[in-house]
Amino acid sequence: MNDPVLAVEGLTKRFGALIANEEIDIDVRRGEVHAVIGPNGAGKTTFISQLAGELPPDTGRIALNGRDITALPVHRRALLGMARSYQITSVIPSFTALENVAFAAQAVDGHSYRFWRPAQAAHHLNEKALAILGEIGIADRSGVLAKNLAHGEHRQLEIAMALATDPQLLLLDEPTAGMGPGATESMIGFLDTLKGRYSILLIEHDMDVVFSLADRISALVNGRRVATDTPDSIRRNAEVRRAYLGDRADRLVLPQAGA
Amino acid sequence: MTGLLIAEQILNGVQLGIMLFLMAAGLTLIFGIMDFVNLTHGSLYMLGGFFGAQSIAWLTALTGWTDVWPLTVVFTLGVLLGVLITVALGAVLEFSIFRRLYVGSHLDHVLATFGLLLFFNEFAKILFGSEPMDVPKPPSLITPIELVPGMTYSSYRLAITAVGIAVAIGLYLLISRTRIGMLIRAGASNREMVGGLGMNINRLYTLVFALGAGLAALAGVMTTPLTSVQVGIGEEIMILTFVVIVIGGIGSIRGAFFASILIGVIDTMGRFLLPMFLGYTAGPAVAAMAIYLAMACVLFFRPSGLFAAGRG
Amino acid sequence: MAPRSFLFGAQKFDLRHAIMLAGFAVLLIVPLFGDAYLVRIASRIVVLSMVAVSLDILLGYGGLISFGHAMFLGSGGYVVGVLAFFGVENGFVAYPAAILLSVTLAALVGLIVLRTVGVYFIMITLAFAQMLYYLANAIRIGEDYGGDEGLPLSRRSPLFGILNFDDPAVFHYFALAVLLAILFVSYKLVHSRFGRVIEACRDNERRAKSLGYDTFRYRLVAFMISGGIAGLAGAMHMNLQKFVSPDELHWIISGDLLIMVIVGGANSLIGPIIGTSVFVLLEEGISNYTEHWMAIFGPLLILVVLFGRRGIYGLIRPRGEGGGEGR
Repeated sequence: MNDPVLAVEGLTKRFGALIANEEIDIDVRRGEVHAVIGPNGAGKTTFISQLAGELPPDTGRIALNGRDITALPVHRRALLGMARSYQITSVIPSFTALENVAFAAQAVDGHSYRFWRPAQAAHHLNEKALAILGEIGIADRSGVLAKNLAHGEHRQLEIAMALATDPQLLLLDEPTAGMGPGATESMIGFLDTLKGRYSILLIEHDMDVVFSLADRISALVNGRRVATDTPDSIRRNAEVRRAYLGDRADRLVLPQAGA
Repeated sequence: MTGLLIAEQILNGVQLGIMLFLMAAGLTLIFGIMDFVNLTHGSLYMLGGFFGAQSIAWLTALTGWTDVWPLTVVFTLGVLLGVLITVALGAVLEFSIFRRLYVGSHLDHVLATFGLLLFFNEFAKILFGSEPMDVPKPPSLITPIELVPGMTYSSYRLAITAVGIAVAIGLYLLISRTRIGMLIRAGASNREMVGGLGMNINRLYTLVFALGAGLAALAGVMTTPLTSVQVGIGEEIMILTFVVIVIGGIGSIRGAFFASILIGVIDTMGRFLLPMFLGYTAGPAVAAMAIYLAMACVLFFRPSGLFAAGRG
Repeated sequence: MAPRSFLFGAQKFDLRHAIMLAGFAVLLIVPLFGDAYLVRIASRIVVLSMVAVSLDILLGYGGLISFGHAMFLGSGGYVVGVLAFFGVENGFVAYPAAILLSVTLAALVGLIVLRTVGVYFIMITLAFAQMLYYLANAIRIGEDYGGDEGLPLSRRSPLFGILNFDDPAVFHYFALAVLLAILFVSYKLVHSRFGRVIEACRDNERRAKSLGYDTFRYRLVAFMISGGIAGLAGAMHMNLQKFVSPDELHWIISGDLLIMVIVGGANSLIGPIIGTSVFVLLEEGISNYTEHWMAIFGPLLILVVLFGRRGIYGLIRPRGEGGGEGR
């Protein structure tokens, strides 16, 4: 018991002379929300891209459920239970919201070399998609083309697609990016309902989101992981505070307990 | 004996390569900077050839000169005139039509430039007829010269190879040493950056396009005394140029240079050597495919070419 | 969301359906006039429509701008020609062989071209078709056949024996039946789960990958299916003309095919047929008046791009319907 869902060891990525990630060790335990924070340029996006398989690491090892996936391509990782949401909305614009989620569900419903029966007639996919859209609160928008959805709805659709692949590990890249306060609030509420059901690695800029959801927090500074601890300890961690102070004064205020 | 023949073929290959480079240098920048699929580059090569040939014929008749050096001057002026007319045409094209297409999709580019290519072919037919048009070599470059004892080589081919290399060096200096060159390099690897550098992006586009048109026309005119110019000749060289650009990597002048020489030599040597080894049925067939097979091999391992922009 | 009917985007009968039915009726009754020239034009429209539909599966649905589709028109034609040269005339051998070889060719070419995207893809498909063009020019069989002379077909590949394909009308109806079959299969294909994957790859390949789809392999299969359909069309074309030459593989033909699809309206199954009809009729029409018909047609294309992006079918299709545009 308590094997981590995700175990990352010594992950390093350089771009020429720039070291984007250096010897990062992070694990995500089953059922926890593990947030990764860091100032701009700390290497968060490089990190998540390597986890998802879009960027090959220089050195290091990534294991999902104990299986080494470092060399696997993106789609194989997805089929092994790793789902991802993108910081910049990434949906299928010419599909309806329902078709987007059903398409995601189709990915884990056996192969798609099925050339004859209409995709729409796969009722179990549609029902699953509708249920997820209902859970996330945009079921009434299921027939709208994704390109006609509002920004907040895009963010919700993004998460819905990730959930439809029955993931064991969710990689969420700034799920509330660009959302207003009200929408952010309800997204936090929704993500909170996922706690315990999924293991989540959360990359987030918004400290309110991080501190209301995370069980543990890792801080990246200049490509290195400087700390991993509970939210309370991270809040008091001198090195983390210094990094935020030195880098961006406007991030100075880390929310206090109970914020 | 065979050694000399092979040496001669290698020189021919380099000469073809240099002409390909003149075509590819402009086109790879147009692809790289404007992300614009341009099928008319071959038309500019063909039109350059026609304009040049016509100018030379016209100047010869006008001056009535018959001596060696005056005729060489006439030839040179004719080449320049042909290039200038094509540069003007390229600028007008960019200004009037292509500029409206950059915002569109690749499909729009393909459709519009394909239409333009069909038009130019007919235009050339109406203006210059469908028979091949010949241009005599300048009289000063008719006699072959002896490169090493026992080996003579066409002085005209040597001359145009030299001109091509000189232009390549000039282009290198332009791209690496001047402010315009810096903007072009920036544009080829990152389009958004150029606007940020405070350059009028429209002017840069027109300039790159006119430059490309001029280089294509130069290749077209200089090749005319060797192969004569006729409708359809531009498309063959354009497809060879595509192969060069794909191998070299879109947006990379350096890649275009190496790939041009590579393709020029492979193509020439293939046509020369393969029939000797494979017989006269299979030989030409394989030779015709040689460069495409080379392209396939490169792409299999490097899908974005040998020198993709941004990597070198 | 309303279920989509066969051939049309929606179930309500509208202008498009009327145009479609009228067009189909014309193709159906043309042989009754007994004018061999008209039948020939109609058959050309039917056969080239097959290629255009197969190209649209890649272009309109898959977002892959293949500038080398003429290679399959040629491969299908040459299979029929070469088999006939060696005495195999039976259509039950020739047509399946044409499809099989074209699918194989598509697999080989696809393995390389599908590693690339965008401008690279356009140029590389063009280059591969050109390679086959030169190959067809270079290879001769026997003394007088092949090479730039092409291959003749002394009689159209017989099927069943009772159908007299020497009668242009009979062959026309056969071609029409094949086109309808291709349309039906294509319709099923683009609305299947597979079709959904292909459309998603067009819109957002990165996302399809991150959901778990091996996009390269799905695209490869789409390329093979498209190549197979085009190969069948090539075999039909060879039978129609009773002749195949490297000209069928020329890159200008690939360009013409792209024009038919785009002008007619990509991302629909009817658009390519409208485009093919317009192209063939314009070609016949303008070339009756001037030999320089390209000088008129070329600028027409530029106007289409600048002012009428959605294609002819897009103009008569209700706004907001249909998928995204291929890029």
